[in-house]
Amino acid sequence: MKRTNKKGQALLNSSILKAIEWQKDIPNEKVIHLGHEYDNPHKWIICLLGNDTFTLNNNSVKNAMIAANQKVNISILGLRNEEFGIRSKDYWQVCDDTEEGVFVNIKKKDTCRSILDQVAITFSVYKQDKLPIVTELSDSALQK
Amino acid sequence: MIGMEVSFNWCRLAALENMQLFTYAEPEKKIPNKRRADALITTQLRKHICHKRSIVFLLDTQFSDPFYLKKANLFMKNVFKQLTEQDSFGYICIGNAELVPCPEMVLEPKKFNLNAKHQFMRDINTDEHYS
Repeated sequence: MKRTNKKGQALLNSSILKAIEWQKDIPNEKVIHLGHEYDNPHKWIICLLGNDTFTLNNNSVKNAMIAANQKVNISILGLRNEEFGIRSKDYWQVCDDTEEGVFVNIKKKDTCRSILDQVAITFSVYKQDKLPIVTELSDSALQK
Repeated sequence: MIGMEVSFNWCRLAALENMQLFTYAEPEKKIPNKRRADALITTQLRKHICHKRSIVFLLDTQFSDPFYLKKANLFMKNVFKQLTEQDSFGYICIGNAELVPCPEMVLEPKKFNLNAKHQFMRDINTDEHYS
């Protein structure tokens, strides 16, 4: 069933704007490390699309980000056995305007899982690991 | 002989910190694309320094093949599972809202309404839902 009505087509754009508004309510903390200031938390919008019937306005997304004073990364994942058409350029543009967002069109079933895993890495965080334990053995042990 | 417990994240963090310190040490040195390289270092360092995440998923319901619907739902479920209780999670259905148990979940810390969220993840990942 294809989305023919305009309201349905604009749902992606309006939902992204809504998500940006939601992100505004999540408080930003400043973390200073080695003289650089970092924003905590990482804010992401991940779109999982089955087709390219959705319209997306790059400027309205940009303006919403400025109005909300938020740095939100947007990634769009297209999951369809055919390549996304003319609108994929708009999707790519919206993702590219964010710092870390990516647009990916997954067409092959056999590579789907590995590509999704790679996309998941883009918004993963690395937990603090314990320090490596370095054990130096004595000279006599080295000679053995 | 030196024995070392391998800690990939620790080594990665140390390497990034060193790279950043080098950029501070040579502020005047003109390197092509230096700004871009600095941004890359800080972006990667941020993943080590800030551990909180706030993610909103926009999920379509109309896929050309149930395989992709399954993958999309599973992907969201797996990411949700990896979030800590302090992380925030939100969801908006951008397809046919009648096909999903819940059209949206307002962005809030994962620990709020946790059972409802778990139930939702289970419901959209059942064979009944795919059929």
